[in-house]
Amino acid sequence: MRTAVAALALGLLLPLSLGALGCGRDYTVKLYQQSDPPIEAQLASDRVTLTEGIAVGVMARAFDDGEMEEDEPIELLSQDSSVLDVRPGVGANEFVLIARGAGRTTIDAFVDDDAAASIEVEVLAQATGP
Amino acid sequence: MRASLVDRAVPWAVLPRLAAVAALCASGCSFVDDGGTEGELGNGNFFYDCVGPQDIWCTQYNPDPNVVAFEEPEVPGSFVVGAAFALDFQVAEPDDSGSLDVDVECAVDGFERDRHFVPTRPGWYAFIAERSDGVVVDVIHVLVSVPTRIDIGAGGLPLEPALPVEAPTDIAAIPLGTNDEVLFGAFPATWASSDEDIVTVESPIAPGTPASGALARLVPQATGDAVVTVTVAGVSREIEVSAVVEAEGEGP
Repeated sequence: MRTAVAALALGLLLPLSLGALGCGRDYTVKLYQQSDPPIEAQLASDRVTLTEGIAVGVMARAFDDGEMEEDEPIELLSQDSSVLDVRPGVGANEFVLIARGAGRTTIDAFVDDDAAASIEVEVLAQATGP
Repeated sequence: MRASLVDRAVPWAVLPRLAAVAALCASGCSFVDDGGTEGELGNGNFFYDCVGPQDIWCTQYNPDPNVVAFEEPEVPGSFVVGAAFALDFQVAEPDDSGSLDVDVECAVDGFERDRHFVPTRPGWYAFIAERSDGVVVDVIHVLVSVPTRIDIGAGGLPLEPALPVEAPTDIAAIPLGTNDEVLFGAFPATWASSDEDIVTVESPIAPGTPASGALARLVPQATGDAVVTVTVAGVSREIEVSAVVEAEGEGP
């Protein structure tokens, strides 16, 4: 009996604790391209590929169990802005990705201040010349 | 090439006016903006500013030699590597968040010099219109290229078999890209005459000094033939020149 009560309590408290720590919802973040740069940008939910010198406007959307959460504020942070700079755009959840230098980095996505996703980024060097 | 960016040939007939405007601008001139090129995010327009009077983009539309006015001040789509230019931005719908205070920066470092842009590597480059609060309002991309060849504009004078130079004659070096698109910007150029006893090459803006940009003035010194060479971004073009100078006492 005591074991059953303890298990029940643990079963109730663990999700609440995780929720208090910000782990209550399992968001994914998708980026939707809003501009058409002259060198193609490849955007996926887990990977972005751009070419050095190129910038692309994106809109970020959060999904919870496949349902779009349009009102959740999203923040995108680049771990290395010398490779990819992420700047806020004019509208809510709009951003501009600026490929500043060739290399690799990661965009950390936060939804309503909770860590939600990591997006791998590769910035390719410009070709030697058009 | 983006359809929204202008890409057109320079009308050679404007060359005499080019030189006149260039000379005028040596002592200061005013610029009139109206129009521009819409940014890729649709939040406003980019405007092109020439750096110095030798950027042919800014003189080809000039309707009034007293004002360097852009009838169509779009941002040209392609530039010579090493050429200087400047960009401004105007927000389409200004609000109260300081959106009127917008600076333009390049996506890559090292291309800004004295409030101008001087791309030193070929490629596509984004220019970013950024509000003072860090919000990026809009973006535009331009192509920077090494010329594949240099065309010569001589105000309708023939270049073959030799350019006749019987009086000071203004010519222009027109760098062209891979698809024969004109490459703009205020670019440095070196001019040389194979025989300065026959013809010299001067700046039309500051006569008596060497030409150093797109425009040059050929000044006949004596009757004879010479070769004038212009070099832009490492690419050279030679033209044969046939100078004619009447001896004193000759002529009507």
